[in-house]
Amino acid sequence: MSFWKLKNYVSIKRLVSRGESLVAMETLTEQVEESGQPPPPPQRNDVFLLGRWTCQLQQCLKFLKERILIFPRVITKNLFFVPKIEENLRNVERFCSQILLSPNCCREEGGLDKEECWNRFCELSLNYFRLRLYMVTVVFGEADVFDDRENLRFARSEYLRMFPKRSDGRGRSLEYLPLKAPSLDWFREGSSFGGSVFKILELSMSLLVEECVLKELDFYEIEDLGMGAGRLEKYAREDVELGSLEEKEAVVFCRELAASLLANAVEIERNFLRKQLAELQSAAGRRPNATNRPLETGVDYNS
Amino acid sequence: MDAATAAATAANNNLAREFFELGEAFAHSQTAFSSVRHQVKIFRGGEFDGVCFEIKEKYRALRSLSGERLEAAQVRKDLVKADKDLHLLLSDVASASLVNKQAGYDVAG
Repeated sequence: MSFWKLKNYVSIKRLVSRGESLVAMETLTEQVEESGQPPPPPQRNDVFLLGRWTCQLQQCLKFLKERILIFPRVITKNLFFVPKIEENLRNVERFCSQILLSPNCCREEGGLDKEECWNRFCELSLNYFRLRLYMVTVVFGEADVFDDRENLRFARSEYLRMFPKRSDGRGRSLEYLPLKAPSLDWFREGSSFGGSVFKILELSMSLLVEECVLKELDFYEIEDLGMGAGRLEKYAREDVELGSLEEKEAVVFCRELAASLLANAVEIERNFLRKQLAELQSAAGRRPNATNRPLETGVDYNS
Repeated sequence: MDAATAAATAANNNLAREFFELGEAFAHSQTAFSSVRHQVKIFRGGEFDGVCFEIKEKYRALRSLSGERLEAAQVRKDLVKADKDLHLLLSDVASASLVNKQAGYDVAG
């Protein structure tokens, strides 16, 4: 018996116990049966975490965009990737509006249920990690982080898969991915179940650790980075059977690991930008004609 | 959909929306704290470490709240408390930095 029905039946029993007439009880029983079962109450903790983690995802995407605009100076060809990040940001905003519109299974209004919400969140997070992998290794040219050419090829192929070519041949866009209802496809697609997902998370984790070391970033705010690496390696090694309990566990593990990496990425990106800006400012300070004018990055940050 | 179901759905949606927004507010609060803590670290005064620790503990307590018994009013109350401490800390750090700067110390950051 659902909580709602149970609550109504308890009301009925109370009426009876208070000596109310049987007529009243029958009326209430009819009301419950006629009204049908209302939707279950929302999973509070899930919605709270979704809000928190989705916000972190947005921050990560914004930092990546800022990195293009700051690092190490504005390179015109890198600006080409700003719209790609904006496409991802738009998708996240659309996801937020779907949750805010009708977060409780109202499919007819375009809302998502709990599982769909989590699937969409994972899909969007993995898109961010795909984009980040490509940007850092290929675009920003920090490819020395990965000695293995296979990993570079992987980062490139994941990026190309994420942004299919436009039909008119003018570049690539996320918009050209077929619009599908959120499902476990984000996990099941790839050579083996979860295979590419685990690899994306594994490489992203390695990249974040490497960035901290190479750029001498401060670990002050960074927590739990590298946690779950053992389990990740295990899943990456072994095939997960479709629909099995192990698959369910692996999906939850992926989601939690992605959220943890997002939280770390926020701190690492911010520390990186601080360091970058400090270097730019000290370089500007060393210039003989240095003034208090803003940095000449060629970008209007107010626009 | 009858009136009772519609009302229950609307109530559920409002509750979910509230929790989603609380989650977002929590993430933003943590981000702001991280920035202030960076300034505290640069300031190196040590006098704000205790406050930082207390705020961090408040966030930890908020993170550990879980399950379906999570109450919006409680989360909001805890979040407001953490935000209040954070604003006070920010104000104190800004004052201390200005005083030090005036005294000629380099507290850039």
